[in-house]
Amino acid sequence: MQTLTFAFMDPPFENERTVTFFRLLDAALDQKCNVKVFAYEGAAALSFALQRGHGNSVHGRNEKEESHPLTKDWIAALMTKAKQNQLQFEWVNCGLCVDERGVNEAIPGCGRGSPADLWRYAMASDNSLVIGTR
Amino acid sequence: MKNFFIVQSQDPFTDVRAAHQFELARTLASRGNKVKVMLVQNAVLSARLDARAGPLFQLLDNRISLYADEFSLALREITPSELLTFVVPAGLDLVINAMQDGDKVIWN
Repeated sequence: MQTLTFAFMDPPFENERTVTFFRLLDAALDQKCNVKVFAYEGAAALSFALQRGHGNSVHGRNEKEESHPLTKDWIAALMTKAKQNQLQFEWVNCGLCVDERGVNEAIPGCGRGSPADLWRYAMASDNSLVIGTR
Repeated sequence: MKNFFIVQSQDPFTDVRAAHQFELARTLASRGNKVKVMLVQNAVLSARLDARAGPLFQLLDNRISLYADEFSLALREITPSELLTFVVPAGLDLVINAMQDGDKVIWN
């Protein structure tokens, strides 16, 4: 069983990269890999527990009908999937990035750390992928 | 010789640096490395039959394997029959496989 590290810096709700990133994590779990994520810059908000869905008056939908996708829910779903498959799924947010954005309240299972954690993750992994923002 | 797997998200029509990224892939291959490129997001637009996909053809000269993310294609309503014949539709599991194989995986 291999362990893969991903570093990601895009915020939620902004770029298609975020969707691709989550698809990669999902694919890694499908391949029975342990996953470690270092979220920095805008990505520190991906696990923000106070994210809220909303209705869409233009579409005439209430909050439930709109079913707005929230990245905190995607992370929680990946954690559940990992647990069901007896895989490790670790997530650390860059503490400075969290403080800058006031997104300290992360969902359970997501920790607070520093770039040193990315180094620690990479050293403990079989391979790493850094998804940078241009 | 090393194995490189490039995930190409930037497309040559709107991102000037994409041409340089293709050049990097070409150079890596020309120096004996094994290179695979997977187009994702808007980069799949350059894989259409009717696109002016000059940079992609340059990659072919170096026998670089080219793939296009099936999900990105579907989002843009591009069917496999509308792709350049040398571009293979594939899932993101290819990226994970490359990481598992120890390839140097680069995100562009």
